Amino acid sequence: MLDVEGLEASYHARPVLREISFTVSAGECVAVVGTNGAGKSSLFRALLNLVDMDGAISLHGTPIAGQPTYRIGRQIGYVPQEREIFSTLSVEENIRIAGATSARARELLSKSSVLGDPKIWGRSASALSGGQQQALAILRSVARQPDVLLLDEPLEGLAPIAVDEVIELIAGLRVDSTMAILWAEHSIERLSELCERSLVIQGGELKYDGELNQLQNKERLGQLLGLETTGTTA
Amino acid sequence: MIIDVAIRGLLSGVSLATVALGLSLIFGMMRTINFAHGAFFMLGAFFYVELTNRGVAAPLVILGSALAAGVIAGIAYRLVLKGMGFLEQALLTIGLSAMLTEAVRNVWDNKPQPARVPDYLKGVVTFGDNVVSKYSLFAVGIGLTITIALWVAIDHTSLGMQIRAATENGITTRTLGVNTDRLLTFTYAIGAALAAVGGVLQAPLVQVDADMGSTILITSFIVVIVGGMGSILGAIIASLGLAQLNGFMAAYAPSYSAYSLYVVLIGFLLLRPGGLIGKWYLGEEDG
Repeated sequence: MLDVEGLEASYHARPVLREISFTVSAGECVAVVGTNGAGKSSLFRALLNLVDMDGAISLHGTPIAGQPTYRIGRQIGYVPQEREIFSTLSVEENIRIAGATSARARELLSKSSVLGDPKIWGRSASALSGGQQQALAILRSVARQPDVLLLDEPLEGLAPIAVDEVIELIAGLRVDSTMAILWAEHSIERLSELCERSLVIQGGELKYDGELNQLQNKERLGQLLGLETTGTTA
Repeated sequence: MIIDVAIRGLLSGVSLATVALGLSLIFGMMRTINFAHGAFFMLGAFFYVELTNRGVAAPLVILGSALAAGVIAGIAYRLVLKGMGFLEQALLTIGLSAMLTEAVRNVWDNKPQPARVPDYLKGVVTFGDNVVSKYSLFAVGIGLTITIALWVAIDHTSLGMQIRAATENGITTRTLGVNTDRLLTFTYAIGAALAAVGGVLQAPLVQVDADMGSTILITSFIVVIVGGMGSILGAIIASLGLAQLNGFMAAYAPSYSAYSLYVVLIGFLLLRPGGLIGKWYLGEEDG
């Protein structure tokens, strides 16, 4: 479904991705693992044409590389690392901005255990807790029912209870859905609850494309990430 | 005397609000420096002179002027201003202002132009001992309608929601499927069109000349900052409040009248930099 071939990207002429190629099938959940600065976020930004990039990207066989970001954004949902909730918009408007009707926005909000109370839907999104904002960012990204969802470290900085809520929310979105998920995260511990496959990116290069289970071996993961001390946290 | 000053302040405030709301969209929300705003105001006044002399009806004059200014501004934004930093925007809009001003000087022989009031808007209306021209009431009516319509549009419509989102974080808005280039070009054009409408409404009340935009430009910046960057409601309140202040100072303490707006501006910058309503956005990243 999503085919990436020879993807290269750069920030201000500095290469950040080199010759990345992979395919993601419908309904698949793929963990994207790497250390800080490895190129995980750059991969997502390149897929959305937010950085200078080269290479071939196609969705359902249709080339999308180089298309305007807003067009790609109608097929690929994206949850950025910093959540980027709109503080000048209400909770409901934060969903509607992604092309959802009011009814669709409310339907999505009802799916979340932390945003399901209609009393908060009209309030400013800036008043929400970190976990609620992350849930809102995720719901917003699926408002258009995208074919692919890019999650850039959605668990970062969340309290343990909020982490559970976000994972529960993502698991719920996968039910009866063909949406593929590319999920970047530092820790692979929680990713294995939902993802079967993993891409390991290090130094802007794809070092591994295979079963996530294989990375439970700390030494193997440490080697891939070029770390002297091995561990489950990349 | 007090009621008379208050009425004149209201007339002046509504007129100022029309122009300042345009700058609030461009500078307050989009965070685009626009030193050409006064030139679009001036352009609107000259369009009024030209079109009314040709017998065009007032509503069409307003629409035509808004459209012309909006198209010029939209082209300028799309081709030149989009994606530029503050300094480049400042220099480019100073250049755009100079171009428009010189164009007007060339077309209208560098002379002040008499702006005639349509016959059906001539005459006065009395409120007790106070007398107000029919045209002033017409200008206030149009200005109030536009002001309220813009406030409702920004705060309560899907388009307004998209503008609020795109001006808060353009990149994220784009990733959500919104064509922000088109949206922000439209927003800039609407801002300039409002300045032109302000010029149209003011034309019969002031002297129409090529330099008339400079004072309103400075006053509009003060309104946007005092009202609160990005707040339409704040700009409306600040316009009405500052116009009243200016009117009462001119009536009761004329020696200090010229400084009063600057004193308020400095006071807000020191004590409440976020303005009456809104956030101080300048230091944040422009998405």
